[in-house]
Amino acid sequence: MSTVPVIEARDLSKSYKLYGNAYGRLWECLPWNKGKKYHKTIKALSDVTFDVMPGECVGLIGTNGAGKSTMLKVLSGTTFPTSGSYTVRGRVTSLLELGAGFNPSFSGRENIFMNAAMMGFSRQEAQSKFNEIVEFSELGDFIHAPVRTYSSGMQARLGFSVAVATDPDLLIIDEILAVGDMNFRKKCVEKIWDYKRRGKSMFFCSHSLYDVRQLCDRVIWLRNGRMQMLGDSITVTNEYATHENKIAEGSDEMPFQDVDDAVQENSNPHIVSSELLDGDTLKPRTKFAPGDNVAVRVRVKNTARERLTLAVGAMRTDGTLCFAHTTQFNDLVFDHEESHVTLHLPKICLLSGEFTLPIWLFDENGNHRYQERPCNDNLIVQNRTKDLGLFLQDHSWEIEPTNQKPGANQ
Amino acid sequence: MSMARTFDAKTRAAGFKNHIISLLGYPTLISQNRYMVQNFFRRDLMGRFHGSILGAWWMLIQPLFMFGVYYLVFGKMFDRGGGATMEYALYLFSGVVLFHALIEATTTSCGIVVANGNLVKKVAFPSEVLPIHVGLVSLVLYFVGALVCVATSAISGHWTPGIELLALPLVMIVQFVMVIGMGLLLGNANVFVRDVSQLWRIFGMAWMFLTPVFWVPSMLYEALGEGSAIPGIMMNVNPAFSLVMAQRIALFGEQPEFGMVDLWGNLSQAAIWAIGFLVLGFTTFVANKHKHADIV
Repeated sequence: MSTVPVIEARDLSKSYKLYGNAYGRLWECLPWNKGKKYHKTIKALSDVTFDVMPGECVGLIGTNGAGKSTMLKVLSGTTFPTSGSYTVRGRVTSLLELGAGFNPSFSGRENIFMNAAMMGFSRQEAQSKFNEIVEFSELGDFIHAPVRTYSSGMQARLGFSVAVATDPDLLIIDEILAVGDMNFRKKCVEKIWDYKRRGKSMFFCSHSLYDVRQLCDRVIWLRNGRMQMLGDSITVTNEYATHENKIAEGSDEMPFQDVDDAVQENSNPHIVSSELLDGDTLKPRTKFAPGDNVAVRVRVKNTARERLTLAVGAMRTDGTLCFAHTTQFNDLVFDHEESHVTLHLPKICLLSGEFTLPIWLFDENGNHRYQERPCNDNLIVQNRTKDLGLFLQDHSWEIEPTNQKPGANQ
Repeated sequence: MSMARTFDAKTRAAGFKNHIISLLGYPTLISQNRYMVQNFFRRDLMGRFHGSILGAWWMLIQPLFMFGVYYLVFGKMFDRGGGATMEYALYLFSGVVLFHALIEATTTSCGIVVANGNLVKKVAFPSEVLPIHVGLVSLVLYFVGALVCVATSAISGHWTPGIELLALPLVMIVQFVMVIGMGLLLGNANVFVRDVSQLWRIFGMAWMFLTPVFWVPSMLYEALGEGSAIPGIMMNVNPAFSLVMAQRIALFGEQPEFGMVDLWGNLSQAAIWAIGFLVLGFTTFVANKHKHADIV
């Protein structure tokens, strides 16, 4: 395999000028207005540098407005960087907006030829691909009807079919795996996997971290137009997910609050502090991987020497309570004036995400709640595998063929 | 891995010299994208008559009908006397046909980038090829009109076409180049200031009256006096002047009483204008087209 990169991007920057009115641009051109500014500059991309090697699939993630679309447009060649340079080698197909450039009053057939022509096909190439395109799009006789009579799904199907028929060396994809019905979507995904298997390169932008993790070897995380991180897909998506969860948490209200702040300064039992520890060394630690040993230590003050129980849970940032354990169920009641209550969680099976740890302080029967507050540290779990979901379930597989004709597989 | 597309913002500000070099590659670019041009051309031409009963016959019916109207109105009703009504109608009609093609093509090209904004924004393709099909369509329309002229003059026996007819393809090439050059110039300008297309409509009308479409050059001297410098200026600063006269000579031969003399002089003057517009239009277009997608 060649070692010359398919994409070489060097310090790519792109800024847009926003003019207040239609004539700002004209006024700015006038010689006597030299130096005056009639626009605001929006920086969509700043100094992005990366390579995509042949056969590699590189993902692009980031929040809305992070510059992902601009990046894709620059690489597709529809818009040009303000500074920096890039080289793209080989035939490129962009699946940015499917069916862009379709003329609604012409038939699907005519639009196929037009679109193929726009992509630089010759008549012979277009004609030889035509049947393949129609077949893949599943449009049948509708191919002779004007595109304006198509449903949006049909249009997208036609767009996808035309685009993938080009068999490019580099495929630039923008979140288009959600095309048409389930069957067609499956076909699209298969087609894209087929590219990957055949050693073609891909540049793939998606909000679905699942798809990115599955499809991509490396991932670029864009944040405010800058490259926040570039690395293997699992590390980057983990970091991104953690970061985004943190932001979501900061903006939302905490899912639970102190029930009774006043208790803290009186003689009622209360939580003084809480921290997250490494289960083995009992040193403070917040980042873990599935399978690590975790401990949560809570310091409780109880001058009145009430009989207490304590509960610790883990709550994902979307509010899902993943587990909660209380000393009560283990028949542990304590009444020390000051105490450290430590919950050991050996081999945690939570998967990627950030979890807040609510702590509840109850009376001995769990009827009265003295206090409820989150642990000072959040538990951050980062996968090393591609497993998905909330937790790692112990599992094994077994596959047996059924309905086999006698002797068919001998 | 044969194709490689490189873009460097530093070297992109390539300057006039590099644009001229890319102008030399323009024919190759067109030929590489001929299938696209062909599709645009077919779509444009078909779109005009799409769904009408007479279809492509309208291309012929329109100029025939127009000729009839010109013959009646200007030839008969406003008879200049001297029995030259048929000649005057031919003179007038040939001018209108050419000028109509010129104006229509430039007006369409003026809005071509904006009208195809959807493509410019979303598909990477050489947009400088866009005005080509517009020029070709206008050539077809002109050619039908020219055929009507030649046929009428041959049938009526006035101004029987002669050997000069062989120069008609040259006239058409010059016209094509001029239309492409103006189209690129206007199309690019209109992206940045949308008022250009509105201004162009007004200007087009004024331009028609400044060009000897309805009037004969000698009328200028009659109106302004023999020694006036204005007719000469009008001839030399108006790109359409020499083109209109050259195509008339090509169609009908030299007719000194209508000022239709010196085919090659007129044609070469028109060609210089055409090349000038092409250079100006192409260079401004190519120098600015990287901004189009962001503005359209």
